[in-house]
Amino acid sequence: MSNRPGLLTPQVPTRESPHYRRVWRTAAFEIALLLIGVGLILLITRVLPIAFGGTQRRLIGVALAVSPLGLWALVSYRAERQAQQPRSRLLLVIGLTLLAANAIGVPLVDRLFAPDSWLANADGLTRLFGYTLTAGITAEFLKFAVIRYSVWQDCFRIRIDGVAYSMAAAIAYGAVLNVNFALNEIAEPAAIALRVAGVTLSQLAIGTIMGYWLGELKFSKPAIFWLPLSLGFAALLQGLYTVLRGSFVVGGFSGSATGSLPAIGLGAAIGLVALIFPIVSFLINSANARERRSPEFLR
Amino acid sequence: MNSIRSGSTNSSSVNSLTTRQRWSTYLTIVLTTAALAAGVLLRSNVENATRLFEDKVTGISTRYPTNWLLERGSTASDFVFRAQDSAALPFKTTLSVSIVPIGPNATVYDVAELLTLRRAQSLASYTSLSITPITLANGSAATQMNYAFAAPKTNPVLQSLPIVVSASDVIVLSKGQAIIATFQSDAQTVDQNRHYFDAFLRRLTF
Repeated sequence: MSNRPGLLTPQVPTRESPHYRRVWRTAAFEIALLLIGVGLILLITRVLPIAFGGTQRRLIGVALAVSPLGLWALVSYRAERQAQQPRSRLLLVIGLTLLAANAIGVPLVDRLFAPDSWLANADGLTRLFGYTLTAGITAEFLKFAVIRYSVWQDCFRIRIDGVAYSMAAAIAYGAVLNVNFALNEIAEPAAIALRVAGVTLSQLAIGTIMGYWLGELKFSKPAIFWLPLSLGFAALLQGLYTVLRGSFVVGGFSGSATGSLPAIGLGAAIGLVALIFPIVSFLINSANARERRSPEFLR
Repeated sequence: MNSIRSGSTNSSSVNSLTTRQRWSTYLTIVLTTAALAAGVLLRSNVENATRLFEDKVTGISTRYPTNWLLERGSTASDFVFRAQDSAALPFKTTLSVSIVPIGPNATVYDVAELLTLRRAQSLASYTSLSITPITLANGSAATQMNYAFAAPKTNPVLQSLPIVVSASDVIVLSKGQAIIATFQSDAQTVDQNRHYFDAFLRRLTF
């Protein structure tokens, strides 16, 4: 018999661990509920064309604007509480992001930069860079700063924690943008529902990019330029989505009519989710697999 | 795949940052600051971007904001050219140049009086505010006449208060004609828009 000690093979789980909340699954469930809700609102407003007054529209708008936050609390936060090892300080991230967005993000973008006022007639490329360098970079940096300085140091335990906290921050940031829109614009409930869903989904999708790199920064040794580059890329995607959404407000000209296509704006946000979620998931799984094969882990 | 406690073997599990983590954060803050500064520069470039207008018949040239709509004067119009900010609501901020032939003994005050009479007839609630001598960027002596009027409603179906317009005429006498540069803006935003007129006058040649 050999006297060499037997090596324990590390457990190789194939799915997200049941110890932690399954981030992608709860996010997908939230998104599905959100889209079903939007679909129902569109259907109801088409079947029952009710005329609402200004105050009623505002109240409905605010209710719709905070509904993604409510969905997150019902689905993700509830699942988090039921997990064996819940992520801590998620509510802190939500609260700090709400404060940062409302106290810094919205005033900085809407009042100081006011990109809508000077980009309205600009060409497409200028609009893309204009929104990237103002609204995009502000949103991404504030979400990054909240996570980096509140939970990153003490609460990150696995890579996907970056995505989980980023999604919380994204939902909160989107809620502030949506509430401001609902309070400042008097629009039909269907239009607000489409916008709320579009903003929420785009924030969720783009937010996972910084979430991934925050996880990498914590658990790997990425080159120092990856985090700022990913912030710039996320801001660029924010700018791109804003330009696309704006271009769909008047979506079609023809000899007989012009058409508004806000539903295609929501389609762009769904496209972002469908594109970014699998990529980030793949990157996280690959990084975990690499780490499992590393000598440091096997030692 | 997330049951791997990735941080267990990493130095970041200790409550101190590695050099890499620290510099990544610093670089992110630097990039954000640089991007916001670039945003301010881009805004300045977009807002101050201009196009050249040149009229070879009258010899007048100037620059107007890129995104404004340009209208060249015809034989029926009373202006050589007019540029309007179509994004300005409810009143489109306007820059224009017109030419009035004058007699050999006419003074700038004669022209100002003529303009006052014309505008009092054509503009609602026309009010002359002040007449002051100024010097243009090329050293020419000019006279600035400030006035206000109530603009007609753009949409007669909508019930709304009239728009108070603040306006200025700068009159220069040159070669037997009076060149009149006009600026009109919603009185509520006139201070924000005044720089367009200042830049317009600086580049005006005749």
